[in-house]
Amino acid sequence: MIAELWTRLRFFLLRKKQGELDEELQFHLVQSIEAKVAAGLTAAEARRQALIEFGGVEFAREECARQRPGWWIDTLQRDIRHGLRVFGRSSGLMSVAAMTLALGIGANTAIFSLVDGIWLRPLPIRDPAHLVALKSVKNHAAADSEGVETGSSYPEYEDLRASVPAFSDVAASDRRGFVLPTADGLQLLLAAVVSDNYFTFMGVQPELGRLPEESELRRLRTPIVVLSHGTWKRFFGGDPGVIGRDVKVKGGSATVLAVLPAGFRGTERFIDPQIYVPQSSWLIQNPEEIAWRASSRADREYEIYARLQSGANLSQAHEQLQMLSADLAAKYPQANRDRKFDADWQTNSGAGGMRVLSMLILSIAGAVLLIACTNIANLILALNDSRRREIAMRAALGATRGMLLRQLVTEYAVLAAFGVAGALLLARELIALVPALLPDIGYPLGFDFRLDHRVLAFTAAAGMVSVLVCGLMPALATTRTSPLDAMRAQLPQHSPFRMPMRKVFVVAQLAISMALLIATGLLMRALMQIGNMDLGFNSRQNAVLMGIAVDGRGVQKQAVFDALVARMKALPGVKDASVARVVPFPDSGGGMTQIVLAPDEAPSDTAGIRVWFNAIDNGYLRAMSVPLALGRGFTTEDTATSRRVVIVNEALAQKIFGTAEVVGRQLRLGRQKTQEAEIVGVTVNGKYADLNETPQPYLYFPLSQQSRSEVTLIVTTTGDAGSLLPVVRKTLRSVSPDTLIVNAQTLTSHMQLVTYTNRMAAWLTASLGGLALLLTTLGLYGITAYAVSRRTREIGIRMALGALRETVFRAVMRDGLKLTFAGMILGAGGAWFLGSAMSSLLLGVKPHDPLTLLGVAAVVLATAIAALMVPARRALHVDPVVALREE
Amino acid sequence: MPTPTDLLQGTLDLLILQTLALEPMHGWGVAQRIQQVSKDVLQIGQGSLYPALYRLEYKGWIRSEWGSSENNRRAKFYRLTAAGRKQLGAELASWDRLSAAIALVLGQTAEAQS
Repeated sequence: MIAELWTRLRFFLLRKKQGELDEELQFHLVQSIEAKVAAGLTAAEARRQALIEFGGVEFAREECARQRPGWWIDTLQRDIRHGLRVFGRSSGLMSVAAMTLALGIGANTAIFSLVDGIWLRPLPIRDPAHLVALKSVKNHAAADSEGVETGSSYPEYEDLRASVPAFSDVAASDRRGFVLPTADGLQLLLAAVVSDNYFTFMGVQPELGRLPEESELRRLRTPIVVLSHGTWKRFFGGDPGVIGRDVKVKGGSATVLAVLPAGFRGTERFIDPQIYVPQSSWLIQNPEEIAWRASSRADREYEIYARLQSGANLSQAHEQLQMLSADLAAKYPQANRDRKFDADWQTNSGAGGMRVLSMLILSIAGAVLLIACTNIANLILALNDSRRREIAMRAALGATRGMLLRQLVTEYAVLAAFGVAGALLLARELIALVPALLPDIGYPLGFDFRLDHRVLAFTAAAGMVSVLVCGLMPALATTRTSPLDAMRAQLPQHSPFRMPMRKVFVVAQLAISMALLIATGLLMRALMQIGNMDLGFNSRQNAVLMGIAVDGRGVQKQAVFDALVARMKALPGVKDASVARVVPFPDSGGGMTQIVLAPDEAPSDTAGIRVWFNAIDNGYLRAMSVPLALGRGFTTEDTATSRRVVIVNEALAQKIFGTAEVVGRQLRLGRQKTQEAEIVGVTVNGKYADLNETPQPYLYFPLSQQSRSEVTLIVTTTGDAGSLLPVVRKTLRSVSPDTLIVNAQTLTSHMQLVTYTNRMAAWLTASLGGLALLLTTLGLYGITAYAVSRRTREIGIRMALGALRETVFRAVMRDGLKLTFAGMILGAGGAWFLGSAMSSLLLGVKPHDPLTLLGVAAVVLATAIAALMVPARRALHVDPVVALREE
Repeated sequence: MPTPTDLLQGTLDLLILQTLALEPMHGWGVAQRIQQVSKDVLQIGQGSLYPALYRLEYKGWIRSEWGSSENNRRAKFYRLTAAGRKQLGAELASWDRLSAAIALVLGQTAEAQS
């Protein structure tokens, strides 16, 4: 056995010399002749017969070579070397083709990794295949503002756990805020309050410490918490001694019992909870919730997950849920009437819209790859036309069609290998870019995008498909001709203009790239417009915005606010400081609303209009540069005990009083019990919730007359806001260590979030449009080059008959330009629809904005001409003598 | 007359091994010997002979070395190795089993026909 292996290895390493076989065959022939001479034939006749008998030696040679172990590696090497040579010979075109392939596959890989990270990859928990998500569904007819589908309440969770035999276990979790004291002051963490059986249910093993059983958690007298990997690293410096440490929490302290492994997010797909608190521990910390939690069936805040009993199926679970729903509706009509539980596979539930979107994007990316491949195939077909003789020669020398195919496909596999390599590099960059593209919501996002084995497998599959499409299709077409025809340089019999499918294809591509580029242009114009837009405040100044929560009673809070503003103003480089409830464009739309009645309107259930309001200190209008049209801002005269005052904007004044001259008039607030406040000032209109909004009524209360715990500290500076941020944070800590920082950012990044959708849309259309244009260029080039190569003879005859070179050049260009114009006109039409569909992002830029249209048309036309020039110039250099001789 | 390609898969290998079991021989000699012994029924052309010899050599069943022929020409001689001898035994045994089995089937058919 070993000896045999050794023999194989030896022969594998030391190849037989080519000459040996020839010598052996020669010997065989000579022996054969001698045998025939000995049998009485003449020398000449013996030789003749022996040769006839002997036959061709090439077959034996080939066969002998094939006997060697690993001979196919040689063949493959030869084919790959040949492929590389072909690559080198038309390196320009092949590089473009490889780059296109890299873009096509790379975009697919990146998008697949996103979709996989969001949707497809199984959750990192025990037995995700049997996990079902439960929700409470309200009868459509009875649906109200509460929504049709909700989570469940804690009492409902306990019922579900007790009375659905099809489930082996049920777990619940709820998202809450958790205040953690750290070296850097109080931090607000996103907590998952989980049922006591949660960790067992998920089957998660802690990275550090231990996760107690449900019964043990129930018996605990002091609360415990479990840290996520990220929280442990960020707030505890990854210190292994954190286990057993007590952290200060509301109403006492809690013991850190475990750290969860990196990547564990429970059933969350989008966010990464920072700290996990078992339900019983949460109730020890928040005893006020005990009574409320037990009684409040309608407080449906918990997300419920269940695991199917082995042997049970989903429809059994549905039946049992149906029964439970009926029971609960009978027992607790107020909370559970018209409601039923629904269960679905965890993989089907939740972000359904996101799933559809992911699949949509993935199929668009797939289509892009297919287009890329088809274009490359066309290009290669054109290239192969010029290699027809080479291929015919090989066929004439005895290569079978299979061998030719193998060799051609290997060439494209070489191309695809370059493409896949480029794609992986590109995808890595794109994936690294994604976190920067996601909006900053103040909590860690749970997305986990990476190039893992699943993504690599996908890329390999995409590469394989592209080899088949790019390689096999043209190879089949090229090897179809008989060697005889090919040697005569005769092309398969169909006329040069019978390529309607390809033409339609190129026109469609042109139209798509044109439409996408116009959309990009429009979005860019809109973004530029935002820069010049009058938002009713100075959104371009350098400022730090810090969302804070202050404890204490009204007067104390006011003192903290005043102290903060005074200390911030004293910082070097600081221009102004102010405290307000919100700044324009808060996360929650326009923010809180206040009902305002018209002067003569009677109080009732439905009276008045809803108006967004802000509560501001005396410095807000100055700090944010909100211009006053009339009257005054708030002053130190306006205190908690003085008469109530308000500032309105012009839109509100017009709406309620029909005039802007409203200073000194009384505004009636509230719906049933009204309260009056004197208008002391009128500001100009601004934008408050949406860049696209029409002038909206808006109202300012003095902060001194409102009791607000959560406010925004605004510090404007002449210098860099980013470097001021830590200074503001430190100063805040020294003034009021107990103040909780909810979020901290610069005004610039706040405004970036406001234009997030616009920028993402522009980015997306720009990259898709650019890719489309690149593909289109290649497509246009391919089809024209192909047409020229097919018309070489015709062009030769024309030239021989006296056609001017210019005429030929123009004829070729004309054909291509016809396609280009058709595509451009269709594309402009498509852009009009696209523009209307995304008008909300265009901020008043018209879909037929002439500047954009002309600019994009120029770019597309220039690109198309560049693509056409190369084959048209080749047509110019057709030598009539050569072209005709090839006949 | 059956050409070697009509021979059962592997039969040519068996014939060559058997032939070489007697004495080391060059390719021409192997072909001649098989033809003589089979009374001209089995004629093996160079197109199948040499690939088969190479195959057997790569498998380590035979070994080749250059020597001189009866009429003093340089020729490559093939010799059975120990592994080849073992292989020959195994192949002979399986050939016996196979031919006995075929004989059984054919015999049965012949009886059914008669």
